[in-house]
Amino acid sequence: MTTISPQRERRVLARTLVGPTAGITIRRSLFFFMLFLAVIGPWIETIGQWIPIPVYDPLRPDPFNPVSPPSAEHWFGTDTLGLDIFTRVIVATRVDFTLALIGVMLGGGLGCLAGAWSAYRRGWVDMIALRIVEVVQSFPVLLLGLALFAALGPLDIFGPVDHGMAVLVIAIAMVNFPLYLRQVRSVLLPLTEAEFVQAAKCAGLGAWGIVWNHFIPNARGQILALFPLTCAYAIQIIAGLSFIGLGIEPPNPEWGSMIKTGATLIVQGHWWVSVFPGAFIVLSVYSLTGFSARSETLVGPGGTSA
Amino acid sequence: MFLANRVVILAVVLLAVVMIGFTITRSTGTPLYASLGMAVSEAIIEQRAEEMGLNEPIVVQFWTYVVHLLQGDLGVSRISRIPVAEDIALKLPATAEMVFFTLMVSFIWAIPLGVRAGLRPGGRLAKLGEGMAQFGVSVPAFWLGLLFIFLLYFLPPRIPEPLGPLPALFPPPLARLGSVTPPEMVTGFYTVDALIAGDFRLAWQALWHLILPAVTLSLTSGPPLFRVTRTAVSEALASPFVEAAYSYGLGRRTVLIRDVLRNASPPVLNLTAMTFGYLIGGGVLVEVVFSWPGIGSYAVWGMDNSDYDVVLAVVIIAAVIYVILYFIVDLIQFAMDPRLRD
Repeated sequence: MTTISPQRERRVLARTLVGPTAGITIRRSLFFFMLFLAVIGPWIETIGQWIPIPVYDPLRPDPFNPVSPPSAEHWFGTDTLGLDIFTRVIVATRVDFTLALIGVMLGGGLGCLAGAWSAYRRGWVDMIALRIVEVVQSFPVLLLGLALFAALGPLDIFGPVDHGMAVLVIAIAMVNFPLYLRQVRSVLLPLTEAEFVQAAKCAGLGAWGIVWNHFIPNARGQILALFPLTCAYAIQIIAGLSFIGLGIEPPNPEWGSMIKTGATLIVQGHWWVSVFPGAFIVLSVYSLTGFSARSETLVGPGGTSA
Repeated sequence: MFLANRVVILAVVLLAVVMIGFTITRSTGTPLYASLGMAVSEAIIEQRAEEMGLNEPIVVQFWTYVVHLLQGDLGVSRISRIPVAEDIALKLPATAEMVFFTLMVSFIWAIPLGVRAGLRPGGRLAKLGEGMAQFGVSVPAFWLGLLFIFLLYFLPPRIPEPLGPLPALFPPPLARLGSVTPPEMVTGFYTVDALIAGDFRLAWQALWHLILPAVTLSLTSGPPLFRVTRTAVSEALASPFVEAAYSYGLGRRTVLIRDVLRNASPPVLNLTAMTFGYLIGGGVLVEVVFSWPGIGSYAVWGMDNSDYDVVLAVVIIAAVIYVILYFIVDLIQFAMDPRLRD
C-alpha cells in the first residue's frame, strides 16, 4: 500500500523543498540558482549596469565580433552573429523553464484527473484510458513532436500566442498525460474498495467529489515525485525539438536552438557556441532530477518507476 | 485469453495509430496542394480533388488510405518524387544497424553494472553505474554527440607537442562510411554486408563509423536498462527460491546463474526489446548530429522541406514497429511464463 497520512505527506512536501539532508545540498542549491536565473532572465541587462558582469542585449548582433572565444568581455564567447552567449544562456533559462512547467502542468493535470477517474470507475472507462495511453506512448517522443508540428504547422489557431511555443507546450502535455495517468492510476487502483471511499459514498458524495477530495490527495506523494522528473524531461524535449529547428525560432534565445547554431561550428573547433547552452541543460536536468530522488526516498517504497 | 486479449489490443492500437496518421495527413491538406502547387485555377483543383478521391465521404477515404498502407504505399516525396516507401526501405537498415550496435554497447556496460549493483548495492561498481545512469539521463543525446565529435574527432590532431599531434581518433561525422563506396546490399547492415563480401577492411571502417553514434545513444538510453537490471537482480536475490537453492547446498556461483540471473532476465529482455523499438524513432537527434542517413534524419529532412508525407510515413513506421515489438515481447513472455496461461 502506498497511502500516506496527511501529516507525513506535508512533511514530505516541506522536506522536499527546504529540509536539510546531507549530500543533496549542492544539487538543491543548483536548482535554486537556475530558478534565480529564470526569474532575473529578462532583466539581466539592467542588472549588468549595477554589478560588473559583462552582459549585453541578447538579440543585438555584433558584426565585428563573430565567433569569438570566451574572454573577459564575452565570458562564454559569441556566436556567428556576434551575439553574446553568456547573456543568451541566462535569458533562455526562463523560456525553457516556463514552457516545460506549463506543458507538464497541463498534461500532468489532465493525466492525474483521468488516472484517478479511471481508477475509480474501472471497467470500460479504465480500458479506454489504457488504450489511449498505449497509443500515445507507441510514438517516439520526438517523432510525436515532429508530427504535431507537421499537423499544426499550417493552422493559425493560437492567435496572439507564439505558434512554435504553443505547439511545444501541446507536445509536452501529450507526452506527460500518459505518464501521470499511469502513475496515478496504479497508485489509486487498490483504493477503489477502501473504507474511506465507501464512507464517502455513504455520505452521499458524488463520483467527482470522491475522486477530487479523496482520491487525488492520496496520490499526491507520487505526483510530487514525478513532477520534477517530468519537468526535467520536458526541458530535454523542448531543447531537442528546437535543435532540429522546431519550436523557438533562432534569434530568440533557447538552449536547443543555440546548440544548433554551434553544431556546424564544432567541427571547426568553435566549441563554446554549443557547449555552454548544453551545459545549462545538463545542470537544470540534473538539479531537477535530484528533487525526484529526494521525494522518492521520503515517500518510501513504491515511488516512481520512471 | 491472455493471447486473444493481446491480439485485440494490437489491432486497436494499430488502428488508432493509423487513424492519427490519417487525420494529420488530411489536416495538413497536403495531398492536394503537394501535387499541384498553390498557383492553379479552381477548376483544376476541383478536378484533381475528384481524381484523388478527396470528395468521397471521409470513411471511404480512410478505407482507401488503409488499403494503400497495407499495400506498402506511403505516398510520394514532394521533393525527390520517389515513393516514400522506397526511401524508407533504404534508410531503415541504417537506423536499425545503429540501434543494434547501441544495444550491443549497452550490453557491455549497463547490464553487467546492473547485475553487479543488484548483487552488491553500495559497492564501487554500483556507484559507478548509478553515476553513469545519472549522467545519461541528464545529458541531451545530441549535445553529447557534439561533444564526442569535438573531443575525439576535432581535438586529437591539434594537440601540440610533445604529446601530439595524434591521429584523429574517429572518422568525421559524415554518414555511414564517409566517401567510401558501400558494400553490395544484402542485409542493409554495412558491417554484415562487408563481411559477406569478404572485405574486412570495409567492415572495420563501417564499425568505426558506428562507434560514436552507438556510444552516444547507449549512454543516454542505457540508464533504464541499468536500473531495471539492478532491481530485477536484487529482487531475485531476495526471493524465497534463492534461499531454497542455498539450503539445498548449491554453490554461490550455481545459484547465481541458475536462479538469480535466470529469474532476473525477463524484465531485462523486455526492456531491451522496448528500447530497440523506441530507438528506431527515438534516435532522431543523434542521427542528425552524425549525419546518419537513417529514417530519423529522413523525417527531419522532410520537415525542413515541408514534405509532410515523409514525416508521417516515418512516424507511422516507427510507431508500428514499436507496437509490433511490444506484441512480440508479450508473446515471448507468454511462452516463458506459465503463470500467464490460466
